[in-house]
Amino acid sequence: MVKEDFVEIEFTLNGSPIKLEVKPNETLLDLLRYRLKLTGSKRGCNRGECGACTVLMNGKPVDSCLMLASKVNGKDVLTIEGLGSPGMLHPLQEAFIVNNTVQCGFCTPGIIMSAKALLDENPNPSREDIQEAISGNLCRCTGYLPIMEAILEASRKTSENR
Amino acid sequence: MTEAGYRLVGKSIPKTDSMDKVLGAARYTDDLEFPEMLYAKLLRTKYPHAKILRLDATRAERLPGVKAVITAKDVPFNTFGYNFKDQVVFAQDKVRYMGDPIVAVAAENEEIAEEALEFIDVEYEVLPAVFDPREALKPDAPKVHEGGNLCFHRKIRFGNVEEGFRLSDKIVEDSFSTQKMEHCHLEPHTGVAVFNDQEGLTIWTTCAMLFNVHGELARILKIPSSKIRLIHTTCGGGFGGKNEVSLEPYIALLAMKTRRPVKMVWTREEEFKGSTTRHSYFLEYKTGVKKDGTLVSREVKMISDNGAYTQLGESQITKASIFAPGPYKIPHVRVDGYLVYTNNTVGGAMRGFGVPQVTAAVETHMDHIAEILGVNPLELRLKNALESGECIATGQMLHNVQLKETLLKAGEVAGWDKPHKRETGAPHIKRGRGIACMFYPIGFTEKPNPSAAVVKVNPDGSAVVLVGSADMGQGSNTVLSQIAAEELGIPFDSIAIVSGDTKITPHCSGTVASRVTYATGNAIRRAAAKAKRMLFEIAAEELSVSTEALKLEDGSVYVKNMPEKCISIGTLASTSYQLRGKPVIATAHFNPPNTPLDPETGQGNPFPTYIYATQIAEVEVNMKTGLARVLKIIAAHDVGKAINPQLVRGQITGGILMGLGQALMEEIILKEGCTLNPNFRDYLIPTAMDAPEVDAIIVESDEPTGPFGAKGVGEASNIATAPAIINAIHDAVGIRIVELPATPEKILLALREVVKRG
Repeated sequence: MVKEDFVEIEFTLNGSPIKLEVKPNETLLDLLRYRLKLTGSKRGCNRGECGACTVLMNGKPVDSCLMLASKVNGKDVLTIEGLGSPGMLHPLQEAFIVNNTVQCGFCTPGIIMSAKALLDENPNPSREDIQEAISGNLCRCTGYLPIMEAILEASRKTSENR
Repeated sequence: MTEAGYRLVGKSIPKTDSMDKVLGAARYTDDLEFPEMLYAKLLRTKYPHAKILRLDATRAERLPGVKAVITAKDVPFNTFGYNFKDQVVFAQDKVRYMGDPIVAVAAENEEIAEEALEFIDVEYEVLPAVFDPREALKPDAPKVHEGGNLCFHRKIRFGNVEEGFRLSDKIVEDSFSTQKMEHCHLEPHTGVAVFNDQEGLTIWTTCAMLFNVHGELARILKIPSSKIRLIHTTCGGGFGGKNEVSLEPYIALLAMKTRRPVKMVWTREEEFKGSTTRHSYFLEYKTGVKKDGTLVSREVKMISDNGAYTQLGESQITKASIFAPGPYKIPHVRVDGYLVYTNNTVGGAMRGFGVPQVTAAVETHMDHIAEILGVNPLELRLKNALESGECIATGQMLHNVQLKETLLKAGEVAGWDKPHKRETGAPHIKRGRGIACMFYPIGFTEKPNPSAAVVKVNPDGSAVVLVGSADMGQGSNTVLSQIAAEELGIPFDSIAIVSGDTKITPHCSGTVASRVTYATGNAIRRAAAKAKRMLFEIAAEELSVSTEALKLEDGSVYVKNMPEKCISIGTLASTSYQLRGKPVIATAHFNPPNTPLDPETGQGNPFPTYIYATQIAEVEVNMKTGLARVLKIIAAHDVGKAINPQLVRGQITGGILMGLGQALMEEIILKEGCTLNPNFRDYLIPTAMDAPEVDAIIVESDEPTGPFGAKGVGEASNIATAPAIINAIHDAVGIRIVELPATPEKILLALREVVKRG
């Protein structure tokens, strides 16, 4: 029995099916962070301007702070927690470590998710493609250059392994 | 082995926190949760200057889910401030700027806390206010504080400027202004406080001057500081924005009142309106110069908008005043820096601490002088550049000066002596290049600022290092571990570092003033050397030689020239602890040597050492849209010895983009004290689309007072960027923007003026 004012949703989260009730005004970010305890997606502005909360929905990057949780019904959601693990890093995560791409790291999960969406669609991106793909993700520490280097390196590695 | 026989110093070891951060597993303050945790919100005033006639929060208190409401009368000691105790935790009788907190609410969730703010009734009597610091200095201006609006006047007197002007062939005068900026660390101010009788108060926060805030809290709460524990959590960026007291008093008071954990997260809007900002400046420069380009005399008058409270403002205008003349030998200098109260957002520390503002002005002024004299801007700088053995205007004689090296290196890489490409293929887009120099100090201005360290060597030969310095994300814990491991002669992975915990770690004056590698690094090296001496004494006894006959290499102590006679650090540590009953533990501290400035003349030795840099910018200006696009920055930086070159380059590339924001786009727009652009849609910071190519060149030097020759880098990186860009715009299209930032609107207006003048 669904509680009054709650919406029942079913979706795939990091590869596993999940079914729960959400409030009609609950954002995907709040659902992830505060109810599901997946705190890798960050709240930097809560109005879709910084990109720190970026997750993939059916492979496309979205600002989870602007996405109502009820809208992910039937969708496939991937967060930074579903991307890799210490023994099984995604090539992007590996390249981010090696290239000193991480400083404070608050923007990192969101940027990695935006970069993943790019590489899935375009395995050999140009520098301009990368700039455009991460232009919605603000970073105040790095000057973006190490980030672009890391994404280029990850793209080279993934295409070699194909 | 790297150069000079170092195993770890000079090696680009990846930052130790990167793994957790790329996995999304790093725990930032907002990721911490406690059972029964409450959420707190602040009610801030809606007027920039007003008397509070009546304050009634009873309706908010009655709201279901609200657990505590506190105001000024709940604060044991309501005032605080680093330089002067002029700021209030809660405004009581009057509010002085639109971010002044009046009430704090703790509730079961964020929505209830937010809603409760609407049920607080405040009656104000609006007072006349003042927003322009130049107006605020007039005798009839509304008073922000009882003592008047001139908060502080810093004077630097060196030689005789009037005499210098008489000896000059040309006098060049310029006026500039620089804007208020916001730090825009991606993580907003966040804190969690927990209180119980046994442990006292524990606060997880990301402030950079942990021990200063610790002392302030003890005064505010009137409890011994030993009952307050500040733990530095993984930090999502600071840049000076998290230096001073911010949300800690509110969550502390609410946790003590409710005896439940309390979390507060500032919204992005609060970051713009209620947190500190980069001080804005009005500057006037007058320089006397010989025909051959020799600088003779320089006079600088500058007025800085302090906002309603001082925080670190006095230290900031002092630093700005010392650096206002630029990194040049000038026999006659006079600087007057006025720090003035207004009813604007509060000024505070931000990367560069006053020096980006004065450097933007002086380096644009230098190009104007070069233009008037018809000399090459690089040659003018080379001719006057400070060198070792020369004095700055405080009378301090400098050592280990690398300015000329950076000028020559940047010039060489940029091909400065060759004509550069001006045309772009599109007739309305012009290309230009500009140069700027800077120097910057390590450590606090004139005040003591020690760091301490504890080094414990475990019986297995690994070591634990305790320091109060917080890693803000820049990688200080990685660099400090390299220093400890190098000195102890053990592998990098054998070091565990505990940092930023006021109950456990020794004191540190803060991760500020580009001081951690230098000051904390020196403290660690000293403590590690003491621990090493203990190990050598054991080894000398075991091997029946004197300690002088021993050397440390690859984790073992050897008898010189007898490599077969050796004992590993682990064996020595366990022998010391388990057989001799002597735990291997050592403490040390380092206080960067400086002396206070004379209040009337500004004479003294304010800093232990300085870093130098030259940056060259290549810029394209679209004359139809007014948009300036930075193509490339060549940045040659003296950092002393680079302990971790990759992290040094990370600081340089990151700082440059912040400097680009200062040059072209960032500005807090205030109207009658109200911030009109408190979000990332209206306050633009550079995105990946704005990122230029950067050639970060490390010009190493061996600093005799630094750990393994290191100085620092953190704040030096953004300082020369803005004037290099502004000078490049002038080179491209012949206009000199003297009010930062150089927005397309300002560039178009200036171009139109040029057309009008013909």
